[in-house]
Amino acid sequence: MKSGSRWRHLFFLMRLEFKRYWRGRKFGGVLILAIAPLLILALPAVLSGNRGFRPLPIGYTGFFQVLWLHLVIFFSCASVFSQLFRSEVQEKTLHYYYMVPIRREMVVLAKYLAGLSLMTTLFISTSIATYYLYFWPAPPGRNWSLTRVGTQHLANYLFVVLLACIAYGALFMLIGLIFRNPMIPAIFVLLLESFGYVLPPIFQRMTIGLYLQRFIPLTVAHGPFAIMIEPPSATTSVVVLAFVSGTIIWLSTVILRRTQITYSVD
Amino acid sequence: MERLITFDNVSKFYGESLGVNRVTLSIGPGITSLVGPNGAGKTTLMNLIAGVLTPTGGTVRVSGESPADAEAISALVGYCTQFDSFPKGFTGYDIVEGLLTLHGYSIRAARDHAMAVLAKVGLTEAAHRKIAAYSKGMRQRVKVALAIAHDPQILILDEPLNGLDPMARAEVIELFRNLASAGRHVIISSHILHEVDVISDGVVMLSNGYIVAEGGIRDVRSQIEDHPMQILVRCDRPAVVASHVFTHDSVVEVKIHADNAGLVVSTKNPRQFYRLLNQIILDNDLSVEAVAPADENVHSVYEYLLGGNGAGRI
Repeated sequence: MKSGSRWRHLFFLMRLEFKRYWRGRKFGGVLILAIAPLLILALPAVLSGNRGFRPLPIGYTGFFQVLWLHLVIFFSCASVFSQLFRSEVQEKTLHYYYMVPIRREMVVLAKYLAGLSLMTTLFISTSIATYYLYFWPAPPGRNWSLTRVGTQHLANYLFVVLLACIAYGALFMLIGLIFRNPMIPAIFVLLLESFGYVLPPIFQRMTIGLYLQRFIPLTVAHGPFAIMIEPPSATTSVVVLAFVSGTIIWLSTVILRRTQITYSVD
Repeated sequence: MERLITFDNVSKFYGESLGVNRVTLSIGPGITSLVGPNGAGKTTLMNLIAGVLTPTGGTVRVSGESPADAEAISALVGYCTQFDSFPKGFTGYDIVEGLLTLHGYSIRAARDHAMAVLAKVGLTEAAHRKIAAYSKGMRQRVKVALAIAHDPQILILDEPLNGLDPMARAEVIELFRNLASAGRHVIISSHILHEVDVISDGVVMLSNGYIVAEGGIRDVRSQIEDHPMQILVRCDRPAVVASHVFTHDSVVEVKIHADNAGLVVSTKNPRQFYRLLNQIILDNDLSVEAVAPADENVHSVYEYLLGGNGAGRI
Protein backbone atom coordinates (compact mmCIF):
# COMPACT_ATOMS: atom_id res chain seq x y z
CA MET A 1 0.00 0.00 0.00
CA LYS A 2 2.78 2.36 0.84
CA SER A 3 4.85 3.55 -2.10
CA GLY A 4 7.32 6.32 -1.42
CA SER A 5 8.04 8.98 -3.96
CA ARG A 6 10.42 11.81 -3.41
CA TRP A 7 8.84 13.77 -6.26
CA ARG A 8 5.44 13.43 -4.66
CA HIS A 9 6.90 14.67 -1.39
CA LEU A 10 8.54 17.60 -3.14
CA PHE A 11 5.38 18.64 -4.95
CA PHE A 12 3.25 18.26 -1.83
CA LEU A 13 5.54 20.49 0.19
CA MET A 14 5.67 23.03 -2.65
CA ARG A 15 1.87 23.01 -2.76
CA LEU A 16 1.79 23.77 0.95
CA GLU A 17 4.10 26.66 0.35
CA PHE A 18 2.05 28.08 -2.53
CA LYS A 19 -1.06 27.95 -0.36
CA ARG A 20 0.80 29.81 2.33
CA TYR A 21 1.75 32.56 -0.11
CA TRP A 22 -1.76 32.76 -1.42
CA ARG A 23 -3.21 33.51 1.98
CA GLY A 24 -0.24 35.48 3.29
CA ARG A 25 -0.46 39.25 3.63
CA LYS A 26 3.23 39.64 2.89
CA PHE A 27 2.85 38.27 -0.61
CA GLY A 28 0.22 40.93 -1.25
CA GLY A 29 2.94 43.47 -0.46
CA VAL A 30 5.28 41.77 -2.94
CA LEU A 31 2.60 41.91 -5.63
CA ILE A 32 2.06 45.62 -5.02
CA LEU A 33 5.83 46.16 -5.09
CA ALA A 34 6.06 44.34 -8.43
CA ILE A 35 3.13 46.10 -10.04
CA ALA A 36 3.77 49.67 -8.82
CA PRO A 37 6.72 50.28 -11.21
CA LEU A 38 4.50 49.23 -14.13
CA LEU A 39 2.13 52.04 -13.24
CA ILE A 40 5.02 54.48 -12.87
CA LEU A 41 6.30 53.50 -16.31
CA ALA A 42 2.87 53.77 -17.88
CA LEU A 43 2.24 57.21 -16.38
CA PRO A 44 4.51 59.40 -18.62
CA ALA A 45 3.07 57.85 -21.75
CA VAL A 46 -0.47 58.44 -20.56
CA LEU A 47 0.17 62.01 -19.40
CA SER A 48 2.29 63.22 -22.32
CA GLY A 49 0.35 61.40 -24.98
CA ASN A 50 3.68 60.12 -26.27
CA ARG A 51 4.79 63.63 -27.29
CA GLY A 52 8.50 64.32 -26.81
CA PHE A 53 9.20 61.06 -24.97
CA ARG A 54 12.23 59.25 -26.36
CA PRO A 55 12.91 56.01 -24.56
CA LEU A 56 16.61 55.15 -24.67
CA PRO A 57 18.07 51.71 -23.91
CA ILE A 58 20.40 53.24 -21.33
CA GLY A 59 17.37 54.75 -19.60
CA TYR A 60 15.86 51.32 -19.16
CA THR A 61 19.19 49.99 -17.89
CA GLY A 62 19.16 52.71 -15.20
CA PHE A 63 15.59 51.85 -14.28
CA PHE A 64 16.38 48.13 -14.22
CA GLN A 65 19.50 48.41 -12.09
CA VAL A 66 18.45 51.03 -9.59
CA LEU A 67 14.74 50.54 -9.12
CA TRP A 68 13.89 47.10 -10.45
CA LEU A 69 16.84 44.95 -9.42
CA HIS A 70 18.15 46.65 -6.30
CA LEU A 71 14.82 47.65 -4.80
CA VAL A 72 11.86 45.70 -6.15
CA ILE A 73 13.42 42.29 -6.78
CA PHE A 74 15.81 42.61 -3.86
CA PHE A 75 13.14 43.46 -1.29
CA SER A 76 10.67 40.99 -2.72
CA CYS A 77 13.24 38.20 -2.40
CA ALA A 78 14.08 39.42 1.10
CA SER A 79 10.40 39.42 2.06
CA VAL A 80 9.54 36.00 0.60
CA PHE A 81 12.66 33.91 1.16
CA SER A 82 13.54 35.18 4.63
CA GLN A 83 10.04 34.17 5.75
CA LEU A 84 10.22 30.60 4.40
CA PHE A 85 11.14 29.31 7.85
CA ARG A 86 10.86 32.41 10.04
CA SER A 87 7.10 32.64 9.54
CA GLU A 88 6.72 28.94 10.40
CA VAL A 89 8.39 29.70 13.72
CA GLN A 90 6.16 32.74 14.26
CA GLU A 91 3.01 30.77 13.44
CA LYS A 92 4.26 27.77 15.45
CA THR A 93 3.80 25.47 12.49
CA LEU A 94 7.36 24.20 12.15
CA HIS A 95 6.30 21.08 14.10
CA TYR A 96 4.42 19.90 11.04
CA TYR A 97 7.57 19.75 8.90
CA TYR A 98 9.47 18.06 11.71
CA MET A 99 6.85 15.37 12.14
CA VAL A 100 6.45 14.32 8.50
CA PRO A 101 8.58 11.46 7.18
CA ILE A 102 10.65 13.68 4.95
CA ARG A 103 14.29 14.52 5.20
CA ARG A 104 14.94 18.08 6.29
CA GLU A 105 16.97 18.57 3.10
CA MET A 106 13.80 17.96 1.12
CA VAL A 107 11.90 20.51 3.22
CA VAL A 108 14.56 23.14 2.50
CA LEU A 109 14.64 22.30 -1.19
CA ALA A 110 10.86 22.30 -1.56
CA LYS A 111 10.45 25.62 0.19
CA TYR A 112 13.26 27.18 -1.79
CA LEU A 113 11.96 25.88 -5.13
CA ALA A 114 8.44 27.05 -4.31
CA GLY A 115 9.75 30.54 -3.52
CA LEU A 116 11.97 30.53 -6.57
CA SER A 117 9.28 29.43 -9.00
CA LEU A 118 6.91 32.03 -7.62
CA MET A 119 9.41 34.87 -7.75
CA THR A 120 10.76 34.02 -11.20
CA THR A 121 7.25 33.70 -12.61
CA LEU A 122 6.27 37.02 -11.09
CA PHE A 123 9.38 38.95 -12.02
CA ILE A 124 10.03 37.50 -15.45
CA SER A 125 6.49 38.38 -16.48
CA THR A 126 6.60 41.84 -14.89
CA SER A 127 10.09 42.46 -16.33
CA ILE A 128 8.73 41.81 -19.81
CA ALA A 129 5.88 44.19 -19.03
CA THR A 130 8.22 46.93 -17.76
CA TYR A 131 10.42 46.56 -20.83
CA TYR A 132 7.62 47.05 -23.29
CA LEU A 133 5.85 49.67 -21.20
CA TYR A 134 9.05 51.67 -21.32
CA PHE A 135 9.73 51.35 -25.05
CA TRP A 136 6.27 50.88 -26.54
CA PRO A 137 4.67 54.33 -26.20
CA ALA A 138 7.13 56.02 -28.62
CA PRO A 139 7.41 54.53 -32.13
CA PRO A 140 11.25 54.69 -32.29
CA GLY A 141 11.49 52.87 -28.95
CA ARG A 142 8.84 50.38 -30.01
CA ASN A 143 10.67 49.67 -33.26
CA TRP A 144 13.99 49.30 -31.50
CA SER A 145 12.58 46.94 -28.85
CA LEU A 146 11.41 44.62 -31.62
CA THR A 147 14.80 44.45 -33.31
CA ARG A 148 17.18 41.54 -32.70
CA VAL A 149 19.29 43.75 -30.41
CA GLY A 150 16.25 44.90 -28.47
CA THR A 151 15.05 41.34 -28.01
CA GLN A 152 18.56 40.26 -27.01
CA HIS A 153 18.63 43.01 -24.38
CA LEU A 154 15.33 41.78 -23.00
CA ALA A 155 16.62 38.20 -22.87
CA ASN A 156 19.67 39.42 -20.95
CA TYR A 157 17.54 41.30 -18.44
CA LEU A 158 15.38 38.23 -17.91
CA PHE A 159 18.46 36.09 -17.33
CA VAL A 160 19.62 38.62 -14.74
CA VAL A 161 16.22 38.39 -13.04
CA LEU A 162 16.49 34.59 -12.94
CA LEU A 163 20.01 34.66 -11.52
CA ALA A 164 19.08 37.36 -9.01
CA CYS A 165 16.12 35.33 -7.73
CA ILE A 166 18.31 32.21 -7.43
CA ALA A 167 21.12 33.96 -5.56
CA TYR A 168 19.17 36.43 -3.43
CA GLY A 169 16.62 33.70 -2.70
CA ALA A 170 19.23 31.34 -1.29
CA LEU A 171 20.89 34.14 0.67
CA PHE A 172 17.67 35.37 2.26
CA MET A 173 16.50 31.86 3.08
CA LEU A 174 19.70 31.42 5.08
CA ILE A 175 19.30 34.83 6.72
CA GLY A 176 15.73 33.90 7.71
CA LEU A 177 17.00 30.71 9.33
CA ILE A 178 19.70 32.48 11.30
CA PHE A 179 18.26 35.85 12.29
CA ARG A 180 15.15 36.52 14.33
CA ASN A 181 14.69 39.83 12.48
CA PRO A 182 15.92 39.23 8.93
CA MET A 183 15.35 42.83 7.81
CA ILE A 184 18.44 44.16 9.62
CA PRO A 185 20.91 41.93 7.73
CA ALA A 186 18.81 42.49 4.59
CA ILE A 187 19.44 46.23 4.80
CA PHE A 188 23.14 45.58 5.27
CA VAL A 189 23.14 43.40 2.14
CA LEU A 190 21.16 46.08 0.28
CA LEU A 191 23.76 48.73 1.10
CA LEU A 192 26.53 46.39 0.01
CA GLU A 193 24.75 45.54 -3.23
CA SER A 194 23.65 49.09 -4.04
CA PHE A 195 26.84 50.96 -3.18
CA GLY A 196 29.38 48.17 -3.52
CA TYR A 197 30.93 49.97 -6.50
CA VAL A 198 32.65 52.43 -4.15
CA LEU A 199 34.35 49.61 -2.24
CA PRO A 200 37.75 48.09 -3.04
CA PRO A 201 37.64 45.32 -5.68
CA ILE A 202 37.98 42.52 -3.12
CA PHE A 203 34.68 43.57 -1.49
CA GLN A 204 33.00 44.11 -4.84
CA ARG A 205 33.79 40.47 -5.69
CA MET A 206 31.74 39.48 -2.63
CA THR A 207 28.58 41.05 -4.03
CA ILE A 208 25.99 39.25 -6.12
CA GLY A 209 25.57 42.42 -8.17
CA LEU A 210 29.05 42.14 -9.71
CA TYR A 211 28.26 38.72 -11.21
CA LEU A 212 24.88 39.92 -12.47
CA GLN A 213 26.58 42.94 -14.05
CA ARG A 214 28.10 40.78 -16.77
CA PHE A 215 24.64 40.11 -18.23
CA ILE A 216 23.26 43.65 -18.07
CA PRO A 217 23.54 44.85 -21.66
CA LEU A 218 24.65 48.42 -20.93
CA THR A 219 26.69 50.01 -18.16
CA VAL A 220 25.37 52.92 -16.13
CA ALA A 221 27.98 55.35 -14.79
CA HIS A 222 28.09 55.40 -10.98
CA GLY A 223 29.77 58.79 -10.54
CA PRO A 224 33.24 59.95 -9.56
CA PHE A 225 33.60 57.76 -6.45
CA ALA A 226 33.02 54.48 -8.26
CA ILE A 227 35.87 52.01 -8.47
CA MET A 228 35.06 50.27 -11.72
CA ILE A 229 36.23 46.70 -12.09
CA GLU A 230 35.66 44.36 -14.99
CA PRO A 231 32.94 41.82 -14.17
CA PRO A 232 34.00 38.17 -14.49
CA SER A 233 33.21 36.30 -17.71
CA ALA A 234 29.68 35.04 -18.32
CA THR A 235 30.64 31.43 -17.59
CA THR A 236 32.51 32.36 -14.42
CA SER A 237 29.60 34.51 -13.25
CA VAL A 238 27.08 31.72 -13.71
CA VAL A 239 29.35 29.13 -12.09
CA VAL A 240 30.09 31.39 -9.10
CA LEU A 241 26.45 32.28 -8.55
CA ALA A 242 25.34 28.64 -8.92
CA PHE A 243 28.09 27.42 -6.60
CA VAL A 244 27.43 30.06 -3.95
CA SER A 245 23.66 29.50 -4.10
CA GLY A 246 24.12 25.72 -3.87
CA THR A 247 26.48 26.11 -0.91
CA ILE A 248 24.05 28.42 0.87
CA ILE A 249 21.17 25.98 0.31
CA TRP A 250 23.31 23.13 1.67
CA LEU A 251 24.23 25.28 4.67
CA SER A 252 20.51 25.94 5.23
CA THR A 253 19.83 22.20 5.35
CA VAL A 254 22.60 21.77 7.93
CA ILE A 255 21.09 24.56 10.04
CA LEU A 256 17.56 23.17 9.74
CA ARG A 257 18.77 19.72 10.79
CA ARG A 258 20.20 21.29 13.92
CA THR A 259 17.30 23.63 14.58
CA GLN A 260 15.21 22.72 17.60
CA ILE A 261 11.68 23.81 18.30
CA THR A 262 11.68 25.78 21.50
CA TYR A 263 8.61 27.93 20.96
CA SER A 264 6.28 25.36 22.48
CA VAL A 265 8.03 24.51 25.72
CA ASP A 266 5.83 24.72 28.76
CA MET B 1 11.71 -4.92 18.58
CA GLU B 2 12.40 -2.76 21.61
CA ARG B 3 9.05 -1.39 22.74
CA LEU B 4 10.06 1.05 25.41
CA ILE B 5 10.63 4.76 25.39
CA THR B 6 13.66 5.31 27.58
CA PHE B 7 15.28 8.38 29.04
CA ASP B 8 18.70 7.77 30.47
CA ASN B 9 19.88 10.64 32.68
CA VAL B 10 18.43 13.16 30.24
CA SER B 11 18.73 16.89 30.79
CA LYS B 12 17.56 19.72 28.62
CA PHE B 13 18.48 23.34 29.18
CA TYR B 14 17.30 26.35 27.19
CA GLY B 15 20.31 28.56 27.67
CA GLU B 16 20.35 28.93 31.42
CA SER B 17 16.72 27.89 31.89
CA LEU B 18 16.00 24.34 32.93
CA GLY B 19 13.66 22.22 30.84
CA VAL B 20 14.17 18.84 32.51
CA ASN B 21 17.05 17.60 34.61
CA ARG B 22 18.54 14.12 35.04
CA VAL B 23 15.45 12.29 33.92
CA THR B 24 15.73 8.51 33.93
CA LEU B 25 12.49 6.92 32.87
CA SER B 26 10.99 4.02 30.94
CA ILE B 27 7.58 4.30 29.35
CA GLY B 28 5.88 1.14 28.18
CA PRO B 29 2.73 0.60 26.10
CA GLY B 30 -0.56 1.84 27.52
CA ILE B 31 -1.70 5.29 28.54
CA THR B 32 0.89 7.29 30.46
CA SER B 33 -0.02 10.73 31.69
CA LEU B 34 2.46 13.51 32.30
CA VAL B 35 1.23 15.62 35.16
CA GLY B 36 2.67 18.80 36.59
CA PRO B 37 2.18 22.54 36.77
CA ASN B 38 3.11 24.90 33.94
CA GLY B 39 6.87 24.90 33.39
CA ALA B 40 7.26 21.45 34.95
CA GLY B 41 8.83 20.02 31.78
CA LYS B 42 5.94 18.03 30.30
CA THR B 43 6.16 19.47 26.79
CA THR B 44 9.95 19.29 26.92
CA LEU B 45 9.72 15.55 27.56
CA MET B 46 7.27 15.19 24.69
CA ASN B 47 9.42 17.21 22.33
CA LEU B 48 12.45 15.11 23.27
CA ILE B 49 10.57 11.93 22.35
CA ALA B 50 9.40 13.46 19.06
CA GLY B 51 12.92 14.58 18.21
CA VAL B 52 12.03 18.24 17.81
CA LEU B 53 14.42 18.91 20.69
CA THR B 54 17.76 17.29 21.32
CA PRO B 55 18.87 16.67 24.89
CA THR B 56 21.65 18.73 26.42
CA GLY B 57 22.82 15.56 28.13
CA GLY B 58 21.84 11.90 28.33
CA THR B 59 20.17 9.59 25.84
CA VAL B 60 16.60 9.17 24.62
CA ARG B 61 15.60 6.03 22.72
CA VAL B 62 12.20 5.52 21.16
CA SER B 63 11.54 1.85 20.44
CA GLY B 64 15.26 1.47 19.97
CA GLU B 65 15.53 4.44 17.58
CA SER B 66 17.25 7.73 18.21
CA PRO B 67 14.83 10.67 17.99
CA ALA B 68 17.48 12.40 15.86
CA ASP B 69 16.53 10.03 13.02
CA ALA B 70 13.67 12.21 11.78
CA GLU B 71 12.37 9.77 9.16
CA ALA B 72 12.26 6.78 11.51
CA ILE B 73 10.72 8.79 14.33
CA SER B 74 8.02 10.39 12.21
CA ALA B 75 6.90 6.90 11.15
CA LEU B 76 6.84 5.72 14.77
CA VAL B 77 5.36 8.79 16.43
CA GLY B 78 2.17 10.79 15.99
CA TYR B 79 2.29 14.11 17.78
CA CYS B 80 -0.72 16.24 18.70
CA THR B 81 0.81 19.52 19.80
CA GLN B 82 -0.73 22.19 22.00
CA PHE B 83 -0.67 24.57 19.08
CA ASP B 84 -2.32 24.44 15.68
CA SER B 85 0.85 23.18 14.10
CA PHE B 86 -0.54 22.40 10.67
CA PRO B 87 -0.01 24.66 7.66
CA LYS B 88 -2.84 27.12 7.16
CA GLY B 89 -5.24 27.37 4.24
CA PHE B 90 -6.23 23.70 3.99
CA THR B 91 -9.34 21.68 4.70
CA GLY B 92 -9.24 18.98 7.36
CA TYR B 93 -9.37 16.36 4.63
CA ASP B 94 -6.53 17.97 2.62
CA ILE B 95 -4.20 18.04 5.54
CA VAL B 96 -4.82 14.45 6.65
CA GLU B 97 -4.77 13.08 3.10
CA GLY B 98 -1.57 15.02 2.39
CA LEU B 99 0.11 13.64 5.48
CA LEU B 100 -0.82 10.10 4.48
CA THR B 101 0.62 10.73 1.02
CA LEU B 102 3.84 11.81 2.66
CA HIS B 103 3.79 8.59 4.67
CA GLY B 104 3.80 6.67 1.39
CA TYR B 105 0.12 5.80 1.00
CA SER B 106 -1.09 5.54 -2.59
CA ILE B 107 -3.48 8.30 -3.67
CA ARG B 108 -6.55 6.07 -3.40
CA ALA B 109 -5.50 4.56 -0.06
CA ALA B 110 -4.72 8.01 1.33
CA ARG B 111 -8.14 9.26 0.23
CA ASP B 112 -10.05 6.39 1.83
CA HIS B 113 -7.95 6.30 4.98
CA ALA B 114 -8.19 10.08 5.47
CA MET B 115 -11.97 9.91 5.52
CA ALA B 116 -11.88 6.94 7.91
CA VAL B 117 -9.58 8.79 10.30
CA LEU B 118 -11.69 11.96 10.16
CA ALA B 119 -14.75 9.82 10.89
CA LYS B 120 -12.98 8.41 13.96
CA VAL B 121 -12.64 11.90 15.40
CA GLY B 122 -16.14 12.96 14.34
CA LEU B 123 -15.18 15.29 11.51
CA THR B 124 -16.84 13.58 8.56
CA GLU B 125 -19.23 16.44 7.87
CA ALA B 126 -16.62 19.16 8.29
CA ALA B 127 -13.90 17.27 6.39
CA HIS B 128 -14.03 19.50 3.32
CA ARG B 129 -14.28 22.79 5.18
CA LYS B 130 -11.24 25.02 5.66
CA ILE B 131 -9.58 24.47 9.03
CA ALA B 132 -9.59 28.24 9.54
CA ALA B 133 -13.39 28.00 9.80
CA TYR B 134 -13.27 25.23 12.43
CA SER B 135 -14.15 25.80 16.05
CA LYS B 136 -11.49 25.23 18.69
CA GLY B 137 -12.86 21.78 19.42
CA MET B 138 -12.82 20.86 15.72
CA ARG B 139 -9.24 22.05 15.35
CA GLN B 140 -8.36 19.95 18.36
CA ARG B 141 -9.96 16.95 16.70
CA VAL B 142 -8.15 17.51 13.41
CA LYS B 143 -4.88 17.60 15.38
CA VAL B 144 -5.76 14.25 16.93
CA ALA B 145 -6.63 12.95 13.44
CA LEU B 146 -3.22 14.06 12.15
CA ALA B 147 -1.52 12.33 15.06
CA ILE B 148 -3.27 8.99 14.58
CA ALA B 149 -3.60 9.04 10.77
CA HIS B 150 -0.53 6.96 9.90
CA ASP B 151 -1.25 4.46 12.66
CA PRO B 152 1.86 5.23 14.72
CA GLN B 153 3.17 3.00 17.49
CA ILE B 154 3.54 5.99 19.78
CA LEU B 155 1.04 8.77 20.25
CA ILE B 156 2.09 11.97 21.97
CA LEU B 157 -0.84 14.14 22.94
CA ASP B 158 -0.20 17.52 24.49
CA GLU B 159 -3.40 18.68 26.16
CA PRO B 160 -5.57 16.72 23.70
CA LEU B 161 -8.81 17.30 25.59
CA ASN B 162 -8.60 21.10 25.55
CA GLY B 163 -11.56 22.70 23.86
CA LEU B 164 -13.52 19.48 23.46
CA ASP B 165 -17.11 19.29 24.64
CA PRO B 166 -17.99 16.45 27.08
CA MET B 167 -19.34 14.21 24.32
CA ALA B 168 -16.25 14.65 22.15
CA ARG B 169 -14.03 14.13 25.20
CA ALA B 170 -15.67 10.82 25.93
CA GLU B 171 -15.24 9.74 22.30
CA VAL B 172 -11.61 10.80 22.16
CA ILE B 173 -10.82 9.12 25.48
CA GLU B 174 -12.43 5.95 24.18
CA LEU B 175 -10.26 6.23 21.07
CA PHE B 176 -7.12 6.57 23.23
CA ARG B 177 -8.19 3.58 25.30
CA ASN B 178 -8.66 1.47 22.18
CA LEU B 179 -5.25 2.47 20.89
CA ALA B 180 -3.64 1.67 24.24
CA SER B 181 -5.37 -1.70 24.45
CA ALA B 182 -4.04 -2.44 20.95
CA GLY B 183 -0.52 -2.14 22.40
CA ARG B 184 0.24 1.46 21.45
CA HIS B 185 2.05 3.93 23.67
CA VAL B 186 -0.27 6.82 24.42
CA ILE B 187 1.47 9.65 26.23
CA ILE B 188 -0.85 12.40 27.39
CA SER B 189 -0.29 15.65 29.17
CA SER B 190 -3.38 17.09 30.69
CA HIS B 191 -4.42 19.58 33.30
CA ILE B 192 -7.71 17.84 33.88
CA LEU B 193 -6.77 15.54 36.73
CA HIS B 194 -9.96 13.57 37.12
CA GLU B 195 -9.76 12.58 33.45
CA VAL B 196 -6.10 11.70 33.78
CA ASP B 197 -7.12 9.53 36.71
CA VAL B 198 -9.78 7.73 34.74
CA ILE B 199 -7.76 7.01 31.64
CA SER B 200 -4.17 6.51 32.78
CA ASP B 201 -2.36 3.23 33.26
CA GLY B 202 0.54 5.15 34.72
CA VAL B 203 1.55 8.68 35.59
CA VAL B 204 4.76 10.66 35.52
CA MET B 205 4.62 13.61 37.90
CA LEU B 206 6.92 16.48 37.16
CA SER B 207 7.87 19.60 39.01
CA ASN B 208 10.44 22.21 37.98
CA GLY B 209 12.06 19.86 35.48
CA TYR B 210 12.41 16.92 37.84
CA ILE B 211 10.40 13.71 38.06
CA VAL B 212 8.67 13.67 41.43
CA ALA B 213 6.98 10.30 41.05
CA GLU B 214 6.22 7.75 38.37
CA GLY B 215 4.40 4.47 37.99
CA GLY B 216 0.87 3.20 38.49
CA ILE B 217 -1.16 5.62 40.56
CA ARG B 218 -1.66 3.03 43.31
CA ASP B 219 2.09 2.37 43.51
CA VAL B 220 2.83 6.06 43.63
CA ARG B 221 0.25 6.60 46.35
CA SER B 222 1.58 3.75 48.47
CA GLN B 223 5.04 5.31 48.38
CA ILE B 224 3.80 8.53 49.97
CA GLU B 225 4.32 7.73 53.63
CA ASP B 226 3.88 11.28 54.93
CA HIS B 227 0.17 11.16 54.23
CA PRO B 228 -1.86 8.33 55.82
CA MET B 229 -4.05 6.46 53.34
CA GLN B 230 -7.70 7.47 53.44
CA ILE B 231 -10.17 4.62 53.16
CA LEU B 232 -13.85 5.12 52.60
CA VAL B 233 -16.26 2.68 54.23
CA ARG B 234 -20.00 2.88 53.54
CA CYS B 235 -21.92 0.80 56.09
CA ASP B 236 -25.03 0.82 58.27
CA ARG B 237 -23.30 1.51 61.63
CA PRO B 238 -20.17 3.62 61.11
CA ALA B 239 -19.91 4.50 64.79
CA VAL B 240 -19.27 0.84 65.59
CA VAL B 241 -16.44 0.71 63.07
CA ALA B 242 -15.04 3.98 64.40
CA SER B 243 -15.01 2.80 68.00
CA HIS B 244 -13.13 -0.39 67.08
CA VAL B 245 -10.53 1.09 64.71
CA PHE B 246 -9.58 3.86 67.14
CA THR B 247 -7.96 1.32 69.41
CA HIS B 248 -5.26 0.71 66.80
CA ASP B 249 -2.11 2.85 66.58
CA SER B 250 -2.01 2.89 62.79
CA VAL B 251 -5.34 4.71 62.56
CA VAL B 252 -4.77 8.45 62.84
CA GLU B 253 -8.16 9.92 62.02
CA VAL B 254 -11.77 8.88 61.52
CA LYS B 255 -14.49 11.06 60.02
CA ILE B 256 -18.09 9.86 60.14
CA HIS B 257 -20.27 11.06 57.28
CA ALA B 258 -23.06 13.48 58.04
CA ASP B 259 -25.64 11.00 56.72
CA ASN B 260 -24.39 8.48 59.29
CA ALA B 261 -24.02 5.90 56.55
CA GLY B 262 -20.26 5.83 56.22
CA LEU B 263 -16.87 7.02 57.40
CA VAL B 264 -13.40 7.86 56.16
CA VAL B 265 -10.50 6.30 58.04
CA SER B 266 -6.96 7.65 57.77
CA THR B 267 -4.42 4.92 58.42
CA LYS B 268 -0.68 4.48 58.16
CA ASN B 269 -1.08 0.76 57.60
CA PRO B 270 -3.85 0.01 55.09
CA ARG B 271 -3.22 -3.76 55.02
CA GLN B 272 -3.61 -4.04 58.76
CA PHE B 273 -6.71 -1.86 58.58
CA TYR B 274 -8.35 -4.06 55.92
CA ARG B 275 -7.76 -7.17 58.07
CA LEU B 276 -9.17 -5.37 61.10
CA LEU B 277 -12.17 -4.16 59.15
CA ASN B 278 -13.00 -7.71 58.04
CA GLN B 279 -12.96 -8.79 61.66
CA ILE B 280 -15.16 -5.88 62.78
CA ILE B 281 -17.69 -6.61 60.02
CA LEU B 282 -17.91 -10.27 60.95
CA ASP B 283 -18.02 -9.70 64.70
CA ASN B 284 -20.73 -7.02 64.50
CA ASP B 285 -22.68 -8.35 61.57
CA LEU B 286 -22.41 -5.05 59.71
CA SER B 287 -24.05 -4.40 56.37
CA VAL B 288 -21.29 -2.95 54.11
CA GLU B 289 -22.11 -1.13 50.90
CA ALA B 290 -18.58 -0.15 49.79
CA VAL B 291 -14.95 -0.06 50.84
CA ALA B 292 -12.56 1.93 48.65
CA PRO B 293 -9.43 4.05 48.87
CA ALA B 294 -10.49 7.69 49.07
CA ASP B 295 -7.23 9.30 47.99
CA GLU B 296 -5.72 6.78 45.63
CA ASN B 297 -6.12 9.07 42.64
CA VAL B 298 -4.03 11.46 40.64
CA HIS B 299 -5.61 14.50 42.22
CA SER B 300 -4.76 13.47 45.78
CA VAL B 301 -1.29 12.28 44.88
CA TYR B 302 -0.69 15.52 43.02
CA GLU B 303 -1.85 17.48 46.04
CA TYR B 304 0.40 15.54 48.41
CA LEU B 305 3.48 15.70 46.20
CA LEU B 306 3.17 19.05 44.53
CA GLY B 307 0.87 20.98 46.82
CA GLY B 308 -2.07 21.48 44.49
CA ASN B 309 -5.12 23.31 45.74
CA GLY B 310 -7.51 20.46 45.21
CA ALA B 311 -9.75 22.34 42.84
CA GLY B 312 -9.69 19.66 40.18
CA ARG B 313 -7.43 21.59 37.84
CA ILE B 314 -3.78 22.42 38.20
